[in-house]
Formats: sequence, C-alpha cells, structure tokens
Amino acid sequence: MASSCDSSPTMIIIRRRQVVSPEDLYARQMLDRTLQWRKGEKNQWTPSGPDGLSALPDDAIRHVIGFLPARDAVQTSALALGWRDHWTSMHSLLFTPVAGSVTVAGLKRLVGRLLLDLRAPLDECVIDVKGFWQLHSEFNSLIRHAVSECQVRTLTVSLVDTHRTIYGQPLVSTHLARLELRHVTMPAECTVLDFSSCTALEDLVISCSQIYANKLSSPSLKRLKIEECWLFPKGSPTCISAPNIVSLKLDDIRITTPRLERMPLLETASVRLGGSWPLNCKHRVARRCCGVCEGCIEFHLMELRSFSSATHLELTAPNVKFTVLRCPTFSKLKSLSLNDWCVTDDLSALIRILEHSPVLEKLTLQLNEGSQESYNAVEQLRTISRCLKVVEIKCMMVDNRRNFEDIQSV
Amino acid sequence: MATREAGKKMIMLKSPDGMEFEVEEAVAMESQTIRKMIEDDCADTAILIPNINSKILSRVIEYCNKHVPTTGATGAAASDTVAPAALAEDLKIWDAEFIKVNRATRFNLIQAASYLNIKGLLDLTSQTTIDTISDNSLEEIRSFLSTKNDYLPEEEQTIRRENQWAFQ
Repeated sequence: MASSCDSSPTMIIIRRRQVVSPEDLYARQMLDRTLQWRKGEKNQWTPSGPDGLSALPDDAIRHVIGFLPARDAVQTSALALGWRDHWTSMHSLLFTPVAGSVTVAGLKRLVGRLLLDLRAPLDECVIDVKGFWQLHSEFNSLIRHAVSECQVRTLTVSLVDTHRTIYGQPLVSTHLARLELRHVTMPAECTVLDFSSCTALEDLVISCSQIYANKLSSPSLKRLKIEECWLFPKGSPTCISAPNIVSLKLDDIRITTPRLERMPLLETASVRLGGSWPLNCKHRVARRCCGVCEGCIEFHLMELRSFSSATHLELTAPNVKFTVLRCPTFSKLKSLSLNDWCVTDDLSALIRILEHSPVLEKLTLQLNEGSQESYNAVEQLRTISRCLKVVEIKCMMVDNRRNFEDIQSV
Repeated sequence: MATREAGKKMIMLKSPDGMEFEVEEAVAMESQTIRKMIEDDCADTAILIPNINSKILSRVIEYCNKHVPTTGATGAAASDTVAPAALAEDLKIWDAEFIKVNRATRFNLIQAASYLNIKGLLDLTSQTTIDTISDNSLEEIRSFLSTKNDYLPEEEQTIRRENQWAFQ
C-alpha cells in the first residue's frame, strides 16, 4: 500500500499479479449500481458547468468530505484526478463501521490506509464502532494516530460489541480539547486516564464504561462528566485529580466511590452515586456495604471536603455514601440538593452541613415516602441557616411524585 | 460604514455586484473572517465581500441573523424565558427550511461559508450535500458534483483497485 500512492507503474505491476477477482467485482458492482440509477430517476441530476463542488476552494471541499463516513471519504479519490488527495486533508474523520456492512478484512485495509495517508490536522474525529472483536489493536492505533499525528481537537470514541479495551501509555497532545469515551474499558495497568500530557484538554466525558484504573488526572480539565460507569479499582479507590475543574458531574457511579482531590475552582457539582457492590466490605450484610468497616469507609464513602468551593451542589445516593465526619465550610454555597442519606437515623448530617453553609439560599430535599416524618423537623432548619429562603421537599412516591413546596421567607 | 443606530453598532457589507447590506456588528461577527477584520480595525468603511453575489450574501446574512446569540437588553430576557433545548429545536427546524435550495445555491453557500468562516453554515451546507450524495455510486456522485472523470484508464484501474475493499 505504501507504494500505491507514489507512482502508477508500480501499481500496474501489482495489478497484473492479481488479475481476476477484486477489480472485476468492483467493476460489476459499479455497473450494477449505475444501471439501477439509470433505470430509476433519470434526470435528477444533470452534469453541468462550473457550479459544481469541484469549483469550490480546496478547503471547502475538504470540509465537506469530512462529513462522509471514512470509507466513502477515501473513495472520493476515485472521482477525478483533482480529488485524489483531498481526503487525506479532510477536516474531520467519521469512522463509524457497523458489523455486517463491511468485512473484517475490508475494515483492516481501511484502517491501514487511514494510518498511512491521513496526516493533516483534524478538527473532529468520531470513532464509533459496533462489532469487530478482532480489530481492537487497529482501533487503538487509530485513536492514537488521530491524537498524535492528526492533532485532533475533539475526539469521540465508542466501542460497542468490541473488545472495548483502551490500553497503552498516556495520550500526548497540545491540541486535544474535548474527549468523549463511551462503552470502553480501562484496565488497571492502563495509564490512558493520565492526561497530564494533554495540556489543552478542558472537557472530558466518560460514559457507560468500566474503569479499573486507579487514577484519573488532568491539570487542565475544566469540565468533567462521568455517567453510568463502573469503578473497579484495586488497592485504593479511583482517585480523580483535576485541580482546575469548574464543573463536575458524576451520575450513576456504581460499585465503588471515587476519591476526589482538591478542586478549589469548583462552581457546580452534581454527584448522583449509584448502587455499590461490597467488594471491600468486611461484613457484607445482605450483599450490601455495612458502611462502617474500614473497607467501606475507604471505597464506598465520599468525603465532602472536595466540594467546599462549590456554589451549586447536588449530592444524592441510594444509601449512605457521604460522610460529614469532617464537614468543611461551604463558604460560597447558594443552592444545595440532597436526598435521604442526610436524614437517615436523625437530622444530624443535614444540620451539620447547614451549620457550615453560611450563605445557603435554597435547599432541596428529595425524600422517599418513608422519610416523611422528617418534614416536621424542617421547621428547625430556619434557625440554623440564616440566608435560607427556599426549602423544597420532593417526595418520591411509589407510583407518582408529589411536590411539597414550602417557601419560607426569613 | 460603521455607524451607530439605536445603541447597536452597524457594519456595512458590500457584494461585488454593488449591493450594500447594513447589519448589526454582532450579526456580522458570526463570520470569523469579518470578526478578525473588525478586531484588527480594518472595518471602518464598507467591507467588500469578494466572490459572493448579493443573492447569496443576503441569504448568509439571514442565516447569521437567526443564529446570532440573543444577548443585550431585549435578547437576554428572551433567552431566559425560552429553554435552551426548545431554542435549539427551533433553530434546527429553521435550518432545515433554510437549506431547501437548489444545488447551485447550496454550493455557493458552501463557498461563502468557507470564505467568511461561518462554521455553523459550513457544517449545515456540507452535511446536506453529503446526505444527498451518500448511497450513490461514483458515477452518480461525479454527475452530482459536476466533476469530470479525468483519470487515464490505467490510473482509474489503479484507483479502483485501491478502493475495491470498500465493496467487499
């Protein structure tokens, strides 16, 4: 393949070696498709004058080609001489093969061509694969090629029904600004979540993935969203180190709870923890974490200290997952949303947080039916928090949701 | 000419066929090319937009007008009351109507969006073009793009062989 783009004589020699099948197949298919088109809507398009896409500046053509799936984009090289190399400079790469639409061998050759000839900077790259268990090293190569060679700025990777694993050394890029990982697995030995060499990375989204790695770090990250992920760390909990983060959203984080390092610039945080699995619990009562043993405290409880600079905060979990043993002062906190965990047993956790939130204006409590007796206690919240203007209690019924809105002006 | 009208800075855009369009600075700055001119103080007099006729330029301005973020005295209130999702949906419907143009106009719009560097319009026109040509054979695409196949027969054979995997 390396020689195929250099000069035609070399290519003719290769052609003679394999005279029969592939070309004929191609020609036949082309003919069939063309005939079908001729039989159908005949005069839909008429070839004409200088208004064609070819008349556009190269840059515009390369932008348009970027909207084609990779396979079709590469094929535009067969349109005309002037189109031969346009695809190698296209502005975005859409690599979205679905099992059944292309053979494994065909896809392997496509990846080969992309790795070989695609060098120009990419604005965006989408690697969205469904199927193809055999090709996971190719997909990994393509991801790294997009980041290192093509200096991609926005990268989306989704590996459904594949090996899913992303492995290897940390990514290195001064261009990558947004990364989205879906349906991937990050093994314990993998250091891909170390983004200290991605100096421009500001947005990171990880969803529907399994994270075995112990650390996620990025000095430049501003916004982090992790949703529907399973955390299976070994030895110590998954540590998230992102000192410049402004917005944090953790939604439905299962198995274990991550440990958050200091986030002094944090403004908005929404943490909705999902079900945990008592991997490190010493007691395992009814397949649940006991919540008091060392293992549980380390792997299944989240300390509130990291959220101390937040203005808007939501902390919800199915069972007790947050600890207020060392409650920080939430000096900027304006709105706070909590669920049952803060009123389990008694109101002490809630009261402790309110005592440390001097400027809190709005408190939302999402409570289950069973916690209704807590409503009566709300009255006493007034006396604790002076700035509190609105207390909203949302009661989750079995079948329907009833909102009790109690607006209290202080 | 950069003038002031009702507190909003206006910019004059001129097409090569002599038409002049007075638009708000914020609208004109949807184009990164014009934004750069304004920021570099090159926009004192009317800005001549080469290669884009008045018909296309007026459509481009129509697009920018619709897509300029609603800010300012009246705009802020509007964006507060309408949910962002609804606003995006509204824009999508508007875009779909906007792009119902013939092929020549669409190519002209691509050219204009490319020169003026208006990413949203370039993406819209590109995507629409791709939607039109996908699932068609090379012959059809050539025909649609008004591209003449100027490969020598043996060159074409080579290119076809390079691409045959795509049809496996």
